[in-house]
Amino acid sequence: MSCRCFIIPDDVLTRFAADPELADELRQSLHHTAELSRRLRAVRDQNALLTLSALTLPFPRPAIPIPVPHVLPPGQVFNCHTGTTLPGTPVANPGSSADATVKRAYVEEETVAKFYWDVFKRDSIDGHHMTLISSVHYAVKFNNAFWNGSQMTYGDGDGQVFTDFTLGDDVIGHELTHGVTQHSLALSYSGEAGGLNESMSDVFGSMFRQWEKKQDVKNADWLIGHDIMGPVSKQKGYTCLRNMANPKDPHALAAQPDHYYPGIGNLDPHYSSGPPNLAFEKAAAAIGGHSWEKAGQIWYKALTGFGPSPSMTMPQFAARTRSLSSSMYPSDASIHTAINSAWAAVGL
Amino acid sequence: MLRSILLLIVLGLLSACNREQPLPQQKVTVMSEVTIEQMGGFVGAGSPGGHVRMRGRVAWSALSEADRAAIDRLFTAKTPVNANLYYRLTRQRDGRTETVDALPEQVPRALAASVQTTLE
Repeated sequence: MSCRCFIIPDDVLTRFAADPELADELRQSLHHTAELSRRLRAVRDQNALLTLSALTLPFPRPAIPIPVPHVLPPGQVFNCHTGTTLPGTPVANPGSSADATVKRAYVEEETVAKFYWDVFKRDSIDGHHMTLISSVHYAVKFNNAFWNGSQMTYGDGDGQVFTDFTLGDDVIGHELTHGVTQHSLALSYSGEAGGLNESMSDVFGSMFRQWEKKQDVKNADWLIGHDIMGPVSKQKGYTCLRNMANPKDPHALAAQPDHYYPGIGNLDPHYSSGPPNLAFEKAAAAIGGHSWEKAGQIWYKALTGFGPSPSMTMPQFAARTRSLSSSMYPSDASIHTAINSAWAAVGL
Repeated sequence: MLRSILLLIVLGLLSACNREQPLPQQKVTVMSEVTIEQMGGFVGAGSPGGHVRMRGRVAWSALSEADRAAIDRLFTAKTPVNANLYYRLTRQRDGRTETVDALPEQVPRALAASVQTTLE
């Protein structure tokens, strides 16, 4: 019997599956469909939990050989054609697509992978050559981009408040970093851990943008979402979503606090990420040079070097980077001083 | 004396019998609309310091039976959401405000499509 899928609520499928007036074969099929539907719905949550479980298994993971010479992880782009079913339709040869959004999503996801390999020797999102998946043209005039636990998704923007979200290289770096976080520190999306999760994505998204433009800390603008501001936002004087160097910036669409306080974790993670964002900018600025060379290395080690810690607090993360600044750069006390002062300046 | 007491008892019983019995309370569920707000993602709309709001609303009567049932299931299950992007649904039910968070794929398209972005 061929399998056909319908958008029918689970309870209806379950009721029909128990209907004695229907043929056994049909009831069996309905039963299977209901079960499949329930399980598919749970896949997303399970994916994150599975990643966390795999990371905390009490035996070492077998080493996966890294290709030598290194090749970038495979990248795929899917087109949702303004629908909301993920991942959408696969695009053949996305790197040479006539659709600029498709091509940009492919080129940038590969470039982020190159950034993670060249700068941190990390092989893809999971560190094990995982295929990168991006879906574009999600929904109609969708004003957002997100990581859903297994892939990146980009909206076209409404052309007024926001433009095409693939236009921001920091957007792509931000979303892909949510994947890296899921496969390392496994931070939750709520509480102080949620704020740290968002901050990791802003920090590495901004670092990627600077790396791509070959900017040092003085030339970097530290703006998040600058390249996706639409005409209406610009007309109203907004230049970005968030400003890492000045979280309270009145020209930011989503201004943030610049100082930590107990209870900040009760607020939206995009709000509470202000202090750790500012701490990174201050540390990188004090150290000088390129942000990814020293401050970035400390943040990366703190993110990926100690296994999962889903409920990590901001003071715990700050303490870890302080400790790493000494152990990673034992002969340069100025780096520890820079990190220490940066956290102290934001109340941590 | 005894006659008076009996009289009082009888009057009391009669009074109790004549008292109007309250009608059994009919459970009337009143719902006028569902509001929806997009939260999180790269934009993080809805954060306290933010100027971006992504909200929509749909009249309960404008939703299909299937969509109403799907929404009812979300409010019944109230499963916590731990996701980068999610929707917050709110409705008034029998004078009480109910709120639940849901993943994009759980929200009926008619409701998700009502979301409009505004700058405040």
